[in-house]
Amino acid sequence: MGDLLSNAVSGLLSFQRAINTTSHNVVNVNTEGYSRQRVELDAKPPTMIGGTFIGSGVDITTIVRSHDQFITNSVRESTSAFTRLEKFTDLAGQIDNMLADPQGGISPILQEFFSSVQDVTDDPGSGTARNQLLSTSEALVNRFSSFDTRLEQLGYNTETDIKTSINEINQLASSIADINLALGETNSNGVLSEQSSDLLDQRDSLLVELSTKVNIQVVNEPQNNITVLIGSGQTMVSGATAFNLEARPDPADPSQNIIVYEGIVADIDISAQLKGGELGGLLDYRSSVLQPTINSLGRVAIGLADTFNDQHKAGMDLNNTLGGDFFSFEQPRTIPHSANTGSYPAGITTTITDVSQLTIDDYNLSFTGGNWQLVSTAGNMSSAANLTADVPNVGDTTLSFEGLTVVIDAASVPQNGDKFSIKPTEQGSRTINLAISDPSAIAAAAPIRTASSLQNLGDIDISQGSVVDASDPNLLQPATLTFNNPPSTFDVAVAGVTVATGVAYSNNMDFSLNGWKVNLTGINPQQGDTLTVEANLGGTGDNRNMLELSRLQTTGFFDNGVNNYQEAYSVLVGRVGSMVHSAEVDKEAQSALLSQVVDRQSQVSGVNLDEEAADLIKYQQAYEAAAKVIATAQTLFETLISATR
Amino acid sequence: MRISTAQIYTQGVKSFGVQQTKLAVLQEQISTGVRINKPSDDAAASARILELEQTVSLNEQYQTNINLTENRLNPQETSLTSVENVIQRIRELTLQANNATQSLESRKAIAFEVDELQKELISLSNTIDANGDYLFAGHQSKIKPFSTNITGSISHVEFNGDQGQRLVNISQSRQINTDTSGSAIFMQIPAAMALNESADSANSGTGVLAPAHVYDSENYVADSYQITFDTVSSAPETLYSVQDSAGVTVASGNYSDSQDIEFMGIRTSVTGVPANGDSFTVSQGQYRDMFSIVSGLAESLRSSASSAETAGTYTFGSALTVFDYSTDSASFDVDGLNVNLNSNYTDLDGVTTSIQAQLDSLAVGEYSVTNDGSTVSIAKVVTSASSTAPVVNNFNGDTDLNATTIADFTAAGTTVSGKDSSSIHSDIAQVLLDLDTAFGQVLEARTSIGGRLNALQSQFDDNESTILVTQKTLSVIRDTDLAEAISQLTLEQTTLDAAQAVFARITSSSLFNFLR
Repeated sequence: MGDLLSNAVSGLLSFQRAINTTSHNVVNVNTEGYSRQRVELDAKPPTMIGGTFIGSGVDITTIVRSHDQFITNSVRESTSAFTRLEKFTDLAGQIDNMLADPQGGISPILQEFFSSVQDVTDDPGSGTARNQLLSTSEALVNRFSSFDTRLEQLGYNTETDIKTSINEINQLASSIADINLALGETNSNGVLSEQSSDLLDQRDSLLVELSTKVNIQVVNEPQNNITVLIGSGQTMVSGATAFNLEARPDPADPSQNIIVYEGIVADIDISAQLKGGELGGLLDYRSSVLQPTINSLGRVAIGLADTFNDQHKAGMDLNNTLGGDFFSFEQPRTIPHSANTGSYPAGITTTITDVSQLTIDDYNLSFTGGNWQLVSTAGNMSSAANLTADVPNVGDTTLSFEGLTVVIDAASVPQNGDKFSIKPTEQGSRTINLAISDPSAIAAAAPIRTASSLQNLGDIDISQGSVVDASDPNLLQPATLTFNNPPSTFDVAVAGVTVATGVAYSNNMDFSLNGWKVNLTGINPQQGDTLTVEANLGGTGDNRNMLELSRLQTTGFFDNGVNNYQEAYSVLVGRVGSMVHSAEVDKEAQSALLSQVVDRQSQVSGVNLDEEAADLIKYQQAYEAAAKVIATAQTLFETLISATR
Repeated sequence: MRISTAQIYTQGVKSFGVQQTKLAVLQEQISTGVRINKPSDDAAASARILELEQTVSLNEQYQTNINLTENRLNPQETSLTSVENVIQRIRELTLQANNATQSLESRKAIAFEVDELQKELISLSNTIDANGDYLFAGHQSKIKPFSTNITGSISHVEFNGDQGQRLVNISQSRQINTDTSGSAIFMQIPAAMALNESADSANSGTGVLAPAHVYDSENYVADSYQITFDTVSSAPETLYSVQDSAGVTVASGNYSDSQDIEFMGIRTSVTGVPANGDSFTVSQGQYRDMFSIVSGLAESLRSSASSAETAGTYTFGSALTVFDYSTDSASFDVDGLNVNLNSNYTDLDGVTTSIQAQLDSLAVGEYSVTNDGSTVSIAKVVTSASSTAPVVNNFNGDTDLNATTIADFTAAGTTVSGKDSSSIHSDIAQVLLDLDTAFGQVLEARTSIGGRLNALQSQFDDNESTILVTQKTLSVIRDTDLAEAISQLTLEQTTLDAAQAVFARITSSSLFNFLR
């Protein structure tokens, strides 16, 4: 009825609700994700009285949630991107710091180690120098080991973090599904209530939180429903139903987890499809920083141990025996996939044969179509493309590649679909150890010494000699070179038995026998001149092998003979450093983008207290006015009533 | 355009965070003095820094190596200087011994001092350094390199070390030899009369050949000689014979253990029991060792005689107490030379002079006749390797001499073997040449050590400058520019202060403050 009182009452009611809404906004000024609510007032439809339309007051048509869907989507995307970088730089920064530690890094201890080697070179008979070498070697392998322990710890933490993230994702998904359900109930009444607005805000919050965990896509469904997709389109939430992710051990390498989507039909491994958010950051970090760092460090350790051993075995120790292994380390693991069906009674062995070709990749060996194939899981640093060697399984099948040799024993019966993963350098840093405990077992001397007889009449001279093949069984047999008449040739006898006669002589020639090589010089040898090569027994002052060992510090071994130990380590440091640096730069950029988008969101949805204060005054005054109208209506009525008394 | 209240606060807080982070970074840079605290601060520089640090560390190690090498070379130089002094002293003594006025006794005295100097040489050659290593032993540095071996009547120094060299890194591309070869200095002195000995591998007896040396350089003929033993032809005696390379026999005789065997100016001996057909070879070598030069000198000195030495004295006199110088006459042969005594003498001196004159006219300078007042002695002057007493026989004469049998006139003289004056001079000349060569060898070694010490010093300086340059480069890359950092710090601090003031200002104004 379009009369004074009802108009005024409609005003009172409307303004009361408006003030309620304003007060709701005011107290939610600090609520995260709250979209301010605006009351929309509209005039009631007029009534027709006597040919004219008379207004009938005011009504609240809707309470609008100030909200921009597009901006909200942008916020989610930026949040995903930002949190991924944040997590990545946080984790990678830990490795960065580890490598930077001047006391904890590998470089200083490596230099100390080679300093001790040089000290033994200077005084090979000294027990002090030898003991010092053993203790710095011990410190070196311990440093590698402690580094590896810390990296392993980071690995465990990463796996734990992944599991935690997945639990949170699952929980968030089910919370969103619950809200979807609640929204559905509200909506069945066809009324968009304030409660519904708050539920929507809550759902948006959950979605933003979910996007901090992983990249998601939100598809709007009718009736305020949404569908949440992750990865390459797997459904996490559909209406009131939430699906789960699970972290399970990788069948190829049980020490790592993969992320499995528990679908209606089947379980799918979606680890590679999950990008963005903390989970994306964790997975990125694991595959592009943590694993390559472990492998890189392992490669340095293995390279050092292998090459040092080779040279050490070419020497002779104080006990007059040929040097043994100085360091020990484990050969690569070949891990069978848990779903393999073939039988491998003798297993598959992988050995490192050539350090200069060793990379930091891991490899996947698979048997398909009756042939063995090999693929490298190239990290960011790898130069190898996919290696496929279609090798049929025959006898002791051998595959050689990138410094490794894989032997599949003849007794193996592979089945199509069998897979193995090979991680050549992963265990290097953990398993490197010192194989010598006795200082007199350090092979500082060369195994042979040479002499030209004091009775020689000619000017023939023999060089100190070098070892070409330490494994030659006759290396330590005494050899005598005697010049014939005419002295243009010489005969060779080993342990008194002639093995060669009439060997032609020319000035500055090399002569090799039994694994050693000497250089003969002299313009004028005489008949009967004798040169000898014999085992260097009692040569306590000989440092020739130690000299060679000290040269290893500056010899290039890795990457086809380009990088020495220090450089290989520097490559690792530089790589991690530049990755962290560029991730940090990215993070800065992303952070700026995110705050821009958040700004725009709050521009639309945020509560401004001054604005609300003004609204409060506005509605309060309107309320007072409407109340005054009621008073006027009352006065009018009283006038009418008193007129009829 | 509007802004939400929450956003005002968020923005303000965020800018604080940014500023404070900047301040924290600057603080770290200033307090550590290092601009790059993590590899991510500057990845390429981090890698470079590690490599530069390795360069510095390597060069510092080279400096240590240089110091150690100097400590090794200096004692070598000192020892060799002492060796030179000893050789000089021996040379002086040799010249002294060459003087014609020297007698066998005085030369023996000189030989005594030479022996002591030889011991000093041996001791110097076995010098030990501070670490307990023998300096001149090559690789087998714990084993005494020069040991004395006594075989037969001759002692001989043997070298037990090897020709090994110990090299040490003194720079990236340079190594230096820290050893001086004991065998080269002491054992390999080029000499014209160096001898080698060897035993035939088919020898089955226990005979051992002593080191041979040239004792008579005048009669020395360089060739390869073979000493062969024969136990069959005149058993139970063992015979030896020496053939030269042409098969010509140059010496032979009965063998007795450790007895000297001399031929063509070479002396050696064999100890033990050689079997039939055993043979040994003595041939020309290229080198002599220093010790045999010195011991050879000592031996020459001990066995030399002067022109005044006599040997082989036949004394007769007891019969002359009744020989009437003026009336009796006699004649006899001395080594087949006829001497007549007529009755023209007044006293014993006259007899002595007459015998001397007669012998001189028959064999100049070979005999020396003297008397001591009651007996006359006829002595054979030492002219060759062995002189025996003169044989006096064929006596004819006055029976008043109371010499009824030849036996009274024969007497066992002493056989003295030795050198005469001219051969001692030629031997000494040879020794002087050898000593000079030895001296030159030691001098050369010492010069090499000196050269190496110089090279070490200059390499040390080079390494020092490399270290300095590298550290400077490191500093440029790695260290904080304090002036720049501090001024940046002030700037950021000002900004932070301003931001905080502005925040306080803005957040304090609210419409609610003005509502009743």
